[in-house]
Amino acid sequence: MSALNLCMVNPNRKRALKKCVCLLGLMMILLAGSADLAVASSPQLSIIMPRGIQRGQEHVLTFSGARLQETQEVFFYADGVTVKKIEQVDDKNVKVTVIVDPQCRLGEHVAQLRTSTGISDYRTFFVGALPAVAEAEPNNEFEKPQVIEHNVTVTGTITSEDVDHFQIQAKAGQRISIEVEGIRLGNQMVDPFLAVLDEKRFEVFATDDTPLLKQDCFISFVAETDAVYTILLRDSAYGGNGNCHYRMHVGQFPRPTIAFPAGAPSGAETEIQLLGDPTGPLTHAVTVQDPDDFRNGLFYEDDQGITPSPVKFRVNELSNLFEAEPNSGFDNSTVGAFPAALNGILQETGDRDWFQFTGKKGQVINIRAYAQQIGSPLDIVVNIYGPDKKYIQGNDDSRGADSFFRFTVPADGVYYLRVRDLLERGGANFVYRLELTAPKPSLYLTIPRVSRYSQYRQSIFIAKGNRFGTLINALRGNFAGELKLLQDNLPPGITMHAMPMAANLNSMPVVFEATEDAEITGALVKLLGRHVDDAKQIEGSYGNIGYLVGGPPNNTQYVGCRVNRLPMAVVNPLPFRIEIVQPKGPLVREGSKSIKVIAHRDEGFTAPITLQFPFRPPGVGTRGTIKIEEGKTEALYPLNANANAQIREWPIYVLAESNVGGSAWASSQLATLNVTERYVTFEIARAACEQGQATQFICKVNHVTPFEGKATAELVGLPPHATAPKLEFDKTTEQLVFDVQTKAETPVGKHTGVFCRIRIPVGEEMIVATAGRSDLQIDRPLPKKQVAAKPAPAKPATTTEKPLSRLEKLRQAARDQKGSQ
Amino acid sequence: MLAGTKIALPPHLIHGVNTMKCTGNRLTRRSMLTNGAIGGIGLTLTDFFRLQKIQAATKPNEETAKAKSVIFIYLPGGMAQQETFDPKPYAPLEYRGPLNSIETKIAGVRLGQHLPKTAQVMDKITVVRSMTHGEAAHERGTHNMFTGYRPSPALQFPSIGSVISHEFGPRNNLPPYVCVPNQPNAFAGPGYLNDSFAGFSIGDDPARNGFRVRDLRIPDGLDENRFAKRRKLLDQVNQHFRQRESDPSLEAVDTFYERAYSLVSSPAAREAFDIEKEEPAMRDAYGRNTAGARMLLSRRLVEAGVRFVTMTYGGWDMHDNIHQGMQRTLPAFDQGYAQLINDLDQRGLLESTLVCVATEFGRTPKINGTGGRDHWPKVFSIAMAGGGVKRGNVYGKSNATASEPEDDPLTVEDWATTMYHCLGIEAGKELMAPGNRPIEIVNGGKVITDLLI
Repeated sequence: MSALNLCMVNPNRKRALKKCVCLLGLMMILLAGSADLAVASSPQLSIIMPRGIQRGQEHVLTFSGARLQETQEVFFYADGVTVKKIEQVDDKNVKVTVIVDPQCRLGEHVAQLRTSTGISDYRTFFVGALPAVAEAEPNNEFEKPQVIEHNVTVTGTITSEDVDHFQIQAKAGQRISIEVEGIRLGNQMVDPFLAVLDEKRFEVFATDDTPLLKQDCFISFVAETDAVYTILLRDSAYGGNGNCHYRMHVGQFPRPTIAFPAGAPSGAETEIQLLGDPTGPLTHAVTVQDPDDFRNGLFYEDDQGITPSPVKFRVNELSNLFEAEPNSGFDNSTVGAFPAALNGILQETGDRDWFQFTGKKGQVINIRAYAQQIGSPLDIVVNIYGPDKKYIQGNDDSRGADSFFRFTVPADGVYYLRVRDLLERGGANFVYRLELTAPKPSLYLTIPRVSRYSQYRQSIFIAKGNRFGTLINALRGNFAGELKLLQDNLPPGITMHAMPMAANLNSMPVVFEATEDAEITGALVKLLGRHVDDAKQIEGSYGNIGYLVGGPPNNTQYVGCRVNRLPMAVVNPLPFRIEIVQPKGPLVREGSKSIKVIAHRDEGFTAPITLQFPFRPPGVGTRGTIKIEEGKTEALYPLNANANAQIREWPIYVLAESNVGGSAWASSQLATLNVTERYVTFEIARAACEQGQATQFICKVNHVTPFEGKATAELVGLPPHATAPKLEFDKTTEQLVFDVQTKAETPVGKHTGVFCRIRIPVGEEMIVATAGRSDLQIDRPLPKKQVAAKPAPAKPATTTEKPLSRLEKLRQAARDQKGSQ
Repeated sequence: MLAGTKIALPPHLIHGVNTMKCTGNRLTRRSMLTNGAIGGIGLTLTDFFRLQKIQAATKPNEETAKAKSVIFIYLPGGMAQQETFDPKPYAPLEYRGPLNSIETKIAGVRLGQHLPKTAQVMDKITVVRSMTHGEAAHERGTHNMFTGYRPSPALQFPSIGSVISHEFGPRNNLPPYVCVPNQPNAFAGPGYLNDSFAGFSIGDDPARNGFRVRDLRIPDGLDENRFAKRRKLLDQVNQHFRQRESDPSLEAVDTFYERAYSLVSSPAAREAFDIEKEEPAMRDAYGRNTAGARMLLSRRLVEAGVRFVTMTYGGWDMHDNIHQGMQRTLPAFDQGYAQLINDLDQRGLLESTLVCVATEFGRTPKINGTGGRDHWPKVFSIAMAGGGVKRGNVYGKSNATASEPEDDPLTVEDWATTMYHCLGIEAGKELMAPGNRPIEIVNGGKVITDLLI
């Protein structure tokens, strides 16, 4: 008898995820209510021990990290684990007693702590079906293994050059399955190597990496005779350290590696074959009721146990179609359809599967292959051929090792798809699934990482009476347009401030505000993005992959934990708040402006406050950080806009950080920055002179936006020992002439980068901008010629006061020279 | 014999000596044999001199060279030009960066705010603001700056120090090429040249209390008399083999040992490496830190006769928070570098010592999302001083956002050629690579006269 375990279906899943709240002791409650509490912030969670627990039991988990005092709640991202008790050991350790439901989903579970001062990192622990047995050192020698029984989970550690040996008794015909959770535990870069040795120490089976489990591995075999086997476990490169934990499941459980077909539509019953088990294909019927139940895959259970980890399984609306061998060419290609999921297996070396479908001119089809993504060893290559049987398009590795391409049907007709392995390999488990779909809008929200290789500031916690801001990024697929942000279960006392995300941006600032009397509480918030036009029905939700393990090259993420809700909490008050003084004047293109930021400090709080300006409208730049110095209460945040800065009113906020026994963060309100067109532009002619001489910059003034009053203009970027006076102008000025005086020491050369800085009074503010650029050429004086004195030529009558441009001066000099000859 | 040594003493000789191992003090026969290891590869002094004799290269004429020595200060990781030698005070904030700029002794020339002391020696140095190459990976940029060549899978090029070692050989019984504290990277080695031209690694940080140069000292617990006794013992062993073997290399060994011993036992040579001999005030002036100590030792070495000293300082790969990174790293460099220039100048050594500050590449024009700058080889800055290089000069110019050269781009080849020119080495000269392939010291560079006096 056997049954499929559908990822621990909970009939109440549709409700908001139930949080496991536990109040702390009286002392902590008193502390939380105290105005003199020792503030700390940014709790950090490093590990949860033990790394795994058996379902259907009560366990004590130890959460370890830093600044974990006043822990109030554990956030879990899946059902099945209930907190019974939270005991604060010290600031770095919290003991949490949990009850694990007997039907709790096996595998990885994500948890994080909410304290009265913040929310910790995401960390994982694993739920298994088997009782745990601790590894007992010394077990480093084949001759002195640790003897274990069937159906246990060995929990151990791989230290440097550690080789662990375990001995197990097997009977003839018995299925022996061994699966290691190593790198998946998310602690350290560890690459388990697993071998099964016979009594003579010969290696019967050995495995390092597997298509299904990546760096982790498993061995499953049927014993031919009664025998004693030794299981050898080590790091593949003999690495390891005290943090390289592992969980090794040993038993007679089934261990299929891949499902065929590897997906099914909702509602209908689908017969699935599970391949790769040493006893042969396992057949079962699956009916998908809730796609969420299959988010982690498909577990299989029989009378000998349950797979510790699922096989990959996709749920969508596509109907399954299957290859029909022989289908090795155009003429015998299997008839497919669009949209549909085409399923097949490259059964043997050199096998190529062909499908055909009918396309209509203009149809756009996404052709996406799933092979290694579903645990297949296949390195799939997909090509498409036209009705004339000529090659049109193809792809090998667009999605990792799997293929994806978008095909636009050029004309009505029958089109052919060819599927093969890159190296023309094949085998019984070389399963693939081609999904042919029409592009449809998709939307995915994230919080950008602010620190490499970490989860820092990926949660929202707002101090009472304060604010916190973050950027929300949107990944739009197959649509464009403004987005609005929605949520459905903010903790009480929190409000969210956000303006629609501009259509041309993928990022928006969001500020959360907690009232003074908000309760210290938290929630996993479902954050949604939606097209501003509700009629389009385009919507997407928030998700995150918490960084857990990285490795070469460049700390590439090997293991992360996926979450689909945004952790949010109200926390203890902070001793400071900040505020932007709403700017009255605009920031003009090619202009600069300083935003005044005020810090409201509690009495006695004098620590420096570091400010950031996380959201920068297009074309607006600023410094990464500035500081409100110790004891000071304000700072000016400088901004500048380039010539193409996007003109509109933009939401802005400033984020502040200060050390209150850990980094504490507070945000300003969402203020408005008005980016506008310039007031004037200058066209500045080039100028030149010899060292020690004077010259002029002639500057044509183009008025773009009228202004009142007197503005000033000054030349900036002049070479050393060259000066020009500041000039005034108003809305009627058409030309400015800067008289530049140089000295004998003024460096010779072409001095580029001379520009005009203008200041225009607008209301109570002074608009500062640059206008026009030019060059100043300084030449060395020519040696003086010894010539006889000639009577000075009559000075030509001056007909105009107009200053001469560089070109006109050169022409005049040429005329003068000609006249003098 | 240390691992990696290509030329080893005859094994039978080592075995023979091992039987003479003396107990009761810390000197072993082996450590005595390896006194004076050369280079990160572990070449011993004896090997070094033996190989030196083998190579027969035409020596350039030193008489015409303005630079007699080089101090090559390498700042690994890629120093940002915007925060150091090429600030952009008028650039938009996101390009300008978090730091301000300051005036220098040369009107109109500004440096980063954390280089106030360097600003005061600006009238003695040349800043190049238009250095350029196309290698944005650390190891490739480093290869460029140490060899003058782009990396090639076909050939290992010699470093500039090794070429100088090859061209000139030792002076005053000191190794011509010394690395402080160690050979900084794989490209600072002899490349296709003989290993005898590798740099001598001092093997310890001169900033460390109790700093002692590896292998160039009589080991602890051994006075000069005992050292001489050991040497006599070795002579007896060698004599034994000389009587039994007729290998001419054994004849040579004597000579190499003599050279090695003269270096180890020469008070003058040892003193060059002894930073403790400096007055405390001078050590304070350089700064009692990594940068200062290394620069001071470099000065002592060139003063004593070393031709090329390579030293490294700091980690400049500031992808994150460049503000803090510069605050942490620049002041020590600033103090040491300015003092080095002044010290050399006051001793009359600046005219004959080329001091070059280099790095593998610059950093991106815009500040990135984590407050740092990423790799940018298109334009960056280096500094040169002394040895025939102009004083108070800014060569080349980057554009308004330090994103590309605007005037006088200086290629690696031109820069290396100019350095060799200062030393009297014709960079177009061909050296013989394995397979009898003639390879120019620098391929296609030209002397930039605007850099030179």
